[in-house]
Amino acid sequence: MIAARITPKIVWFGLALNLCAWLAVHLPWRAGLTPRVWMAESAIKTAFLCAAYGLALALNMEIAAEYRQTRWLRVAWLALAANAGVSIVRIIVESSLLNLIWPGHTRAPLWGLLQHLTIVPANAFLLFGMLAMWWAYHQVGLGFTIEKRDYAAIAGILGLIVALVVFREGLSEARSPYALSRWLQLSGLALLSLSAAASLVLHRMAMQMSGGKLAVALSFLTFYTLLRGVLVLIQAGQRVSLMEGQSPGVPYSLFVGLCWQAVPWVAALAAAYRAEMTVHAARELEQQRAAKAVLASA
Amino acid sequence: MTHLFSEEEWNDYIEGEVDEETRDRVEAHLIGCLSCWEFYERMANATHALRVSGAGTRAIFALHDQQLHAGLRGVFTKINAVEAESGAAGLKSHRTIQQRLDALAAVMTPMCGSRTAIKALRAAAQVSPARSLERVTEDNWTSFLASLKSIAAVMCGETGARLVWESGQF
Repeated sequence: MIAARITPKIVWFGLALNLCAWLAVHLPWRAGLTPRVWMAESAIKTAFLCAAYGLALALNMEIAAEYRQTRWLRVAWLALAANAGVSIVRIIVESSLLNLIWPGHTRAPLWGLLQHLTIVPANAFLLFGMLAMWWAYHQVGLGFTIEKRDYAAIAGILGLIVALVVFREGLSEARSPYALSRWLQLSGLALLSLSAAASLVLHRMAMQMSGGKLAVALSFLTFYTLLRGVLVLIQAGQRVSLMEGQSPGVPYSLFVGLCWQAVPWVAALAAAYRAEMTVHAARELEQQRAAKAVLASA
Repeated sequence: MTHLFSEEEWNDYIEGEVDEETRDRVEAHLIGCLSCWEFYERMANATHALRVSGAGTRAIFALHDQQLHAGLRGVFTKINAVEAESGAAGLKSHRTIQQRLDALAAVMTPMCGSRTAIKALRAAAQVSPARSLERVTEDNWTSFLASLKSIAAVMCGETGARLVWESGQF
């Protein structure tokens, strides 16, 4: 059982290690002590982010196997596993390390196209996973309800995506020579917004559970989706506000850099907390059976 | 054979419980109707005989107040004893069920939260023959537990559902 070894503590440790390693290489350059070590920074990011999504993939697959009888939840966790799997491809595709093989790769328009060719299916899987999960919990009929403020938040998210489409000059692919790339970016954003809206519903369910590991897992799933959406929004807003040739401030760059690196770990944390529930149940079951065996033999 | 009068009026007349007007009508009719007169005589004699034998029987089996009280006390004591016995058994059974429900809620809470656990118990009871959590008994426990296992399979996963099932076994 992978979940018995990959506990939430391990994932938190991985996140901390990732951020510390990146800061250890990045900050000396910011302080002017060393020249920028692109390759080291990129290698750290690629390796750690692939590891995080790899953990999420493995854990999600294991969680899906827990639902042999509950079809919708099996599909939901398999979709989240697919999201993690496609995201690994995305990390590799957008890695600066590829510049070593194809010089100028990250500055070419093809880079954006390849990136969004992976983002769109990843977001589609995420949305499908969220909806399948919501449907499965809704069908049990435990009386989870959506409140008015949730509808308001969902309307706000959908309003933001409309605003992004209107002011799409702020998007990274707005000036791409590939029409497909521009279209894919908008589709990816729409899918991400819908996922964020669905995640809010799951978050409300988590709030109504009054504790438990499932609620923590659902909250992390919500955080994963919302964090990605918020970061895209912040970056789009920042691109629109900056003048030609102007570069963003250091605190902003650090914050966004750290947040983007935390994103895959949040997905892994959601899976780890859900998987921990199975580990807990298996341990309790084992203890209970042992106690019954002792009582029977007495 | 009631002729102009209802059975009730005949009975009341024989018992001497009719009003003056009805009595006059009955007696006016009896003077001119032989069959009714014979019927009246038979009924009056039978009523008198019943009264006399009833009084004799009451005299034979007459109970003094003390005997009556002692008898009643005995009857009530027996009734109370039977009720107390079934009440104690019911109370014990109810307490056992409540303990098992609490144990199931405690098993589910770390996995899916306290509120979900309570909701799951209620939902399982509703779809089981018990129909409500308050009516879950030892007789319908297995059906209730099977329903809870199905809900737990969604909320806690299949390992969690197995834990719930085994925790709920008597």
